[in-house]
Amino acid sequence: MTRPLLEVRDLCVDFAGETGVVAAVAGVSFSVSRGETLVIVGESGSGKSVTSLAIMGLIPKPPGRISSGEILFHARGGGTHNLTRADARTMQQLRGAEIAMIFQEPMSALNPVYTIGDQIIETLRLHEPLSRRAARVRAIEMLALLGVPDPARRVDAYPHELSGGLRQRAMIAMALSCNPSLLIADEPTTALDVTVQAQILELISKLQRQLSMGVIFITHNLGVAAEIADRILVMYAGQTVEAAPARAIFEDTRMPYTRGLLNSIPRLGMDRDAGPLPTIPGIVPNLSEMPAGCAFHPRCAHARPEPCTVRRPDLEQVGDQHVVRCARWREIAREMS
Amino acid sequence: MTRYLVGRIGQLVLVLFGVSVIVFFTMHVLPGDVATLLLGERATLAQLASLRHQLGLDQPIFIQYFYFLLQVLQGDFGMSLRSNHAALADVLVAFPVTLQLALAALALAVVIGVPVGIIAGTRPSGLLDNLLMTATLFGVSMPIFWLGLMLLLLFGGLLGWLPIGGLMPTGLDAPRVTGMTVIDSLISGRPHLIWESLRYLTLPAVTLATIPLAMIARITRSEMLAMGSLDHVRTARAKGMPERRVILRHILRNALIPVVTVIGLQLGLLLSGAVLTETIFSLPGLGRLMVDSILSRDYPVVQAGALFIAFVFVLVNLVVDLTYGLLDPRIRRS
Repeated sequence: MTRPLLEVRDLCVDFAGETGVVAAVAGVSFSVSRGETLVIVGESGSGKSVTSLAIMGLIPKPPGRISSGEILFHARGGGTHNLTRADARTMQQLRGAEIAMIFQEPMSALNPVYTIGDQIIETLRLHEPLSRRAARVRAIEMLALLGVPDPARRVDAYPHELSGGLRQRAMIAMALSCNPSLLIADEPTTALDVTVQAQILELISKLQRQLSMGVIFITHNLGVAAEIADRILVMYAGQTVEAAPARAIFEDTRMPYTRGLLNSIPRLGMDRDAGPLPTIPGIVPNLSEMPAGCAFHPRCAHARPEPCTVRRPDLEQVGDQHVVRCARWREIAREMS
Repeated sequence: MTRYLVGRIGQLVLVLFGVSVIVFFTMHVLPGDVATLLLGERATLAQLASLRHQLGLDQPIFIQYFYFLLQVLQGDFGMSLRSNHAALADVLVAFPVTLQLALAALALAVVIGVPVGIIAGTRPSGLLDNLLMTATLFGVSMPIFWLGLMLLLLFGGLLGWLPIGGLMPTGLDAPRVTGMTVIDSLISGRPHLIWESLRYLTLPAVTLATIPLAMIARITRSEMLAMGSLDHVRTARAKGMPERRVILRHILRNALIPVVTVIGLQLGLLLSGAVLTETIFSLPGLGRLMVDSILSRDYPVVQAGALFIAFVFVLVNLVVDLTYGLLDPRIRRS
């Protein structure tokens, strides 16, 4: 296997709050290769967005701080950068050009006072020596590539003049305009209608193949993950709780939390008389009031006083590239079969 | 756009009508009798009655208003009871003095206030931010008459660097074109005149600029802070944009709309006459003309002045509203 594009090792991100310092991300490791899609799944507050912002160097400081760990990025030019320590200039050169990001809400993520064309042109000209006119031509090409109808006219539209789907396409056009090698997509389809959502997912997969990008896709929706993931990393309360190739996550689920997420996806043809859709009881714990032992035990049907409430489980290898953070995974597997 | 403008001009007419009603009736219910004021205490009843008849003051008030309106529509506000000039002419002579002062003060306020707001707003709670915001707090709460007098005492009196009042040195005047001494001096092309006109403008402009400057700095700061945390700013950073450009292009531009509102409101206020500043520095501007006219019951001048001020105020507001459209496409196209 070739060298990965991005390696995150033992990343920890702290936030200083009123009640003291909390660890929003507590020791997460993963890697992404060119042409690969890693989906990070988790509920709100699981640390998935903070992880992506850490890669971009966009953690708001203060109150946030990368307290330890490494983020190694292998740039196109051949150099390797540790993004946790890169200076502002290096980060500016990488952002937009080599690592691009698309955000959840394309209405607020685009500046309302500039046309989408202006915003794409701006990105292009930050990183490439292009005239305004040449950049405009490229912007129209990008919009066409993203399937925006009538791109020569839409390029002069303001964000509020476009539908949600078109705005997100414009946002993606902007992110991909400099042909990045890594794309981070933070819930890019959450704010969209289901049909538009499917179109956008398809588009991202297609462009990924065309441009052979590495993609980190962040979502709370395992259904979305199933459509595009090569590998899936499930986060809970700032930690990896299960990570595996996509197929293994769905067919050989180990962590009770992952199973809970899977069971709570509605499926076509479900028996309506079988009762309501299962949910995971409770909510993600407040980061400043983390339970002792396994962070998930208060919500886990399989939890036992010993060892779950006492000892924080380690990440264990359970199969080929499949790791899980559960002290009782063997017993649970026996119980389930 | 045309429809919008026509609508706004219709509003302007309505506002002016309202102002004319209020001003006219207020002037007429105020205590004090114009005829007595004009003729003095020793006038006979017959003389007073004759003057009242001559001025139309013996007519019912609604009739008086009707005639007033008829004349105003022809641009005739009557003669000033003190100067014997046309009332509107007096107002138009005083206005350039105020206009020049207001524009100079506002220019100072914007040129200094906006950068101060940016500097403070991009370093929230830093030492510089705290210093600047404390300074602007003094600025907004400064009594103008006190500040003006202190500046006058220091720079005009003790140090003797700047003149203590008036528009130009006695006997030295540029040929009157606009009525604004600086502009007229520039037109005359004589460096000495330009220098003097600026020297005379400095103290009053600085005095008058203090409050708007502090307000503009504070509103710019708070808007920079509010806009700085929005998602599109994070997008701009995610594109690899240098921080300085993020601030100018993606934060400041969006923060300017409320700043423009404040600038417009301040300009309207400043143009309606800075009574205190004009009094301290003996400037024959609109504010002083209005106060003097009110005190001497020179109602034609008061009416002309009030309507003129209302006109200018509404006009400034219209310009501000059009500026919104330039700054924010969401307003422009709706």
